[in-house]
Amino acid sequence: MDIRKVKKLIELLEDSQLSELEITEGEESIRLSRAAPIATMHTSFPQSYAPPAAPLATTVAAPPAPEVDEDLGLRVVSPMVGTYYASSSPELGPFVSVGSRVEVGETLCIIEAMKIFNQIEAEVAGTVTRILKSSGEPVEFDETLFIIE
Amino acid sequence: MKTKGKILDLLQAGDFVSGQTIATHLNISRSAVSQSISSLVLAGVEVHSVHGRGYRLVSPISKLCAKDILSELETQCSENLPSFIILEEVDSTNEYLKRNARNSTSPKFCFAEHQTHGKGRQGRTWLNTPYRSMLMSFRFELVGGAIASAGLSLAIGVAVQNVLVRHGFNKTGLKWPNDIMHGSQKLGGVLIEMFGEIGGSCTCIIGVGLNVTVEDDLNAQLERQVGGLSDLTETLVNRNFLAASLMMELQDAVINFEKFGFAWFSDDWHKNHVFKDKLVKVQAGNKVFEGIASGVSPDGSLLLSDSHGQIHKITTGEVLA
Repeated sequence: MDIRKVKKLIELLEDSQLSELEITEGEESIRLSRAAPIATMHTSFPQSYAPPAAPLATTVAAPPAPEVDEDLGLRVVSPMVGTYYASSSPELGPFVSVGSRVEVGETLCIIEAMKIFNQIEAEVAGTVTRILKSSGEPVEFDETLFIIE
Repeated sequence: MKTKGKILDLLQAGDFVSGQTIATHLNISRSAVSQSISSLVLAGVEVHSVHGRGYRLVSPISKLCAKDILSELETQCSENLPSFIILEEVDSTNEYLKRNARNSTSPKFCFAEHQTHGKGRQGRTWLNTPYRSMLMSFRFELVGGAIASAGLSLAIGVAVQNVLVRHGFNKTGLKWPNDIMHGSQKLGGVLIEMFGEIGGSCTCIIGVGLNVTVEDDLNAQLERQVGGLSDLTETLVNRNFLAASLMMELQDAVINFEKFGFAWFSDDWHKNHVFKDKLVKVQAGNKVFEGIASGVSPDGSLLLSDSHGQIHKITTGEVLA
């Protein structure tokens, strides 16, 4: 198995709240697991801004991993560093909610950075099963925003 | 809006024109004239109405005119003339281009005299006075997609300001990421919307809003934080010349951006940075950060130097000055 693929799977596991992940592809199979819920860092500021003296970071334990689904679904990741917006304006409702059925090309959210508003569209049709960000939160490059199944 | 536009054609020079003259020209009744004038006033165009003399604009305007823009474009360049459309009224020029994005024959540039739902940052409304702003949008395909867009908004700010300097507005500057400033007053801004496949090419719609004349009541509403180009010159700002130059410059800017990225624009951005080496506050989410604005990084992020001399990279936030 391609090492990059393995790396991707580890990232996938880390980004999720799963405790175990097993994938079989032809004759190859891989199983990744973690023993206990791991601690995640929560900062309220983009990570590219690293305060030197007084760290803003507080450590919170992640909630226990939920029951694992057979099918993981597809991750939708952020193509850029920026701010996540669930709607096109604060007065309007969010583009999608958990349980929303989306079609290919449908807008999921907006990522803004330096007054570029990037409309993130669904690349697969399916149901939004998880939303990992809330409006106004910073996002990193390649960070998971949604899971679509 | 058509009647109102035609009335403005007659009034734009700034002289008194009688209601009867307007009615005859447009082949409408006197009361229809008076109704249209009222709705112009309601939309924010200041008109004096003097008994026995007729109507007059409080200050003359330069109406956008396709013929004038085209002839200016032809003197500025011989080939690659940009396609454009002028609308009297639209929700937002960005929305217009978005609606027509799939249609390959639709124009690349859209101008409007009045926006009913102009866009500001995060859903804020961009206020404008009809016929006294420059409201335009430009659509193009960015082959590199979102990943290649780092610094694009700053590059467009540089392009817009270059045009202003060429038109004699050389006391203008840039505030991160791309507000067009005159001292502490905001003259205009740029907002870019982008959509397409992640990792693939994407469609960019660049919206540019410039205040040409800011009328007093709007200025009071915005607590004197805005200015207009007409404050910087004694003569009437020719919006048609400005429109032609903006189209040419933006067309070139995106070609250079695709070839060289923000590096092509970085020197110009720094030269015109209004807060260069000044202490600024930056609002990011619900936090405010303070530091010396030393410049921007190659990806367009603002570099803030704190009291310990440590440099911080700000990718998202608003400079409060």
